[in-house]
Amino acid sequence: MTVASDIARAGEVLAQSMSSAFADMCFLDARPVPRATSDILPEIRAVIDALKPTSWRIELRLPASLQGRMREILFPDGAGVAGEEDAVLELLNVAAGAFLTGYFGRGQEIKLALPRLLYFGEACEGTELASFVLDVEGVLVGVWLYSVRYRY
Amino acid sequence: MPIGEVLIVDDSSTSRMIIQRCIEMTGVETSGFRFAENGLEALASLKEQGPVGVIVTDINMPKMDGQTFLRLLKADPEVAAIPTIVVSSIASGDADAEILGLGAAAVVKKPVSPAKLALALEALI
Repeated sequence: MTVASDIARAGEVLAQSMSSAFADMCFLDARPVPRATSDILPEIRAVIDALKPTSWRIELRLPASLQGRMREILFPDGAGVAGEEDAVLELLNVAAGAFLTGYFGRGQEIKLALPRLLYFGEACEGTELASFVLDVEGVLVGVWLYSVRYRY
Repeated sequence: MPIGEVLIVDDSSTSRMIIQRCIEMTGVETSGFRFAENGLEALASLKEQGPVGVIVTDINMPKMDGQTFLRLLKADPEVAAIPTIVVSSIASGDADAEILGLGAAAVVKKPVSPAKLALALEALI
């Protein structure tokens, strides 16, 4: 069971990890802002599942314009749609790894699934633990952390 | 001292590109780059095109993950001696120890940087 203080800390660590990933990978400044997640334009939705030591899911929602900006930075020679989508997924992968390591510590066994995109209004399963908005150089990005109960 | 051809193994095209650029920025001389999207492709590349000077591989990949790739690599006498650097988004003491125990030369945490890769590559020279 996750207590309120743990959830608050998880949100903080996730926000820091996501901001660092934008900065380190894309050289984009990303800061948490007190905005509603409903202000996000969720054109691109990416998720990654944490499998150990806990069953969590991290979702990232951003507008296509930011994905395009990431592509321009990372692939100045030009890249197709696959390159754009992959950049978002890799950013999520890096942020998730940093988050889990930062939250649980280096001594914990951590396992991540492969990141993937959600399409056509696909619902994101789980119970919301935390959510926040990042301002990525003028573009709003939403991040959600869910607790997911898997059925085997 | 040149390190030869570098095989970069990662399912993410973004990550492959970042790793290549970071290696180029280290100033370490290479004779080129080869790419694979997973361990299976990497093994096929080594079999068909011959060994490389250094391998840089991700851990979490579809079809064949980095640990399995490393095990099979070190079990093949033709390619076992190729120094392998593992890159991972997860920093875990136990996981790093396991990867080094499988024969990796170094573990570098993502996001990679020229400085991190320079340290790992210079230890191989």
